[in-house]
Amino acid sequence: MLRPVATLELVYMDERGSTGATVVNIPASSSIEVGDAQATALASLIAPMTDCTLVKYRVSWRVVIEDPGIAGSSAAIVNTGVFIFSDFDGGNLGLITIPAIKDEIVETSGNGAGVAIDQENEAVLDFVAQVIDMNASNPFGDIFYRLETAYRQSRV
Amino acid sequence: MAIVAAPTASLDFTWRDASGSIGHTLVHVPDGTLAAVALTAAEALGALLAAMSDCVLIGYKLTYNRVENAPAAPVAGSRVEEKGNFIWTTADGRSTRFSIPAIKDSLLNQSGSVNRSAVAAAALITAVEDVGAIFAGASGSDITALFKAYQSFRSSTKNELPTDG
Repeated sequence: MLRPVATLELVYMDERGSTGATVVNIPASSSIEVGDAQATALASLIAPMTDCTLVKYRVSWRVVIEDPGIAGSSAAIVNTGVFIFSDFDGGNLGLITIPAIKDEIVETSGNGAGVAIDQENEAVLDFVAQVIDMNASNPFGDIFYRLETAYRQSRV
Repeated sequence: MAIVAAPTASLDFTWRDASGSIGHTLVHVPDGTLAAVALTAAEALGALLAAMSDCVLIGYKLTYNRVENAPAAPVAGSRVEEKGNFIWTTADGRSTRFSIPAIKDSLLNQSGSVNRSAVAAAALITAVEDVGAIFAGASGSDITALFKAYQSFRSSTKNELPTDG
């Protein structure tokens, strides 16, 4: 369920470098352009009221799963599935990690047994297709074009 | 100085395992992606991720980040622990609040309340209360009026304490 409000979080820094925030709600139906406009307007109103300086702001929407259920007894976030994607040219990489990756999508035979993720598994194929279809990217904006490799790793 | 957008917006999926520990899956999309489009894609992706994990998905968050590339120097002596609290009533009869770190002393009355007649404070109050404004409480109900405004202090965190004391 999408929460009814999106949040504007304006982050301010004081003389020591410590930060504090002003958090204000706007309707969740607002576009990011509206969020930007409201944040800019609010920042201009707050500027003459604070001795801090604005260093960044965020606009966020939250979705809450209403009845998430309970994880199975074997579920442990440290069993992480790591998926490394590359962009069209193959020169820029990015990764997506999934906690408590299911055993049934990990290869059970061959050189990658117990470690490599089965890239022909239907759930994996659907996931990769969605990642590419939605123009997911690395943090620098290099859009993913293909899955390079995927494996299970223990991550704390 | 200018506010610049990060290259991407982030989708942060939050998971809970059998022990109650929390994990995350972070996915980026180009900053130019519309929020509605990103949220629709996130819903689809969340279902596919859930099919690959033994954890339960408890929620996700879409965030667009903006950074000031050359922030001005904060005023000497400014402290984020000193806050100006603004408590507002909303159209549904509830209240909502936000605070302004290091509120200027010149905006305060001797009691510590905010001087609502001060030019800067009056401008903020007018803008937030304006019928055309979209600021809201947590339920999404419009802010209608300022209820209380005053200075308060929160405790310093360990990292905020002086190191030469």
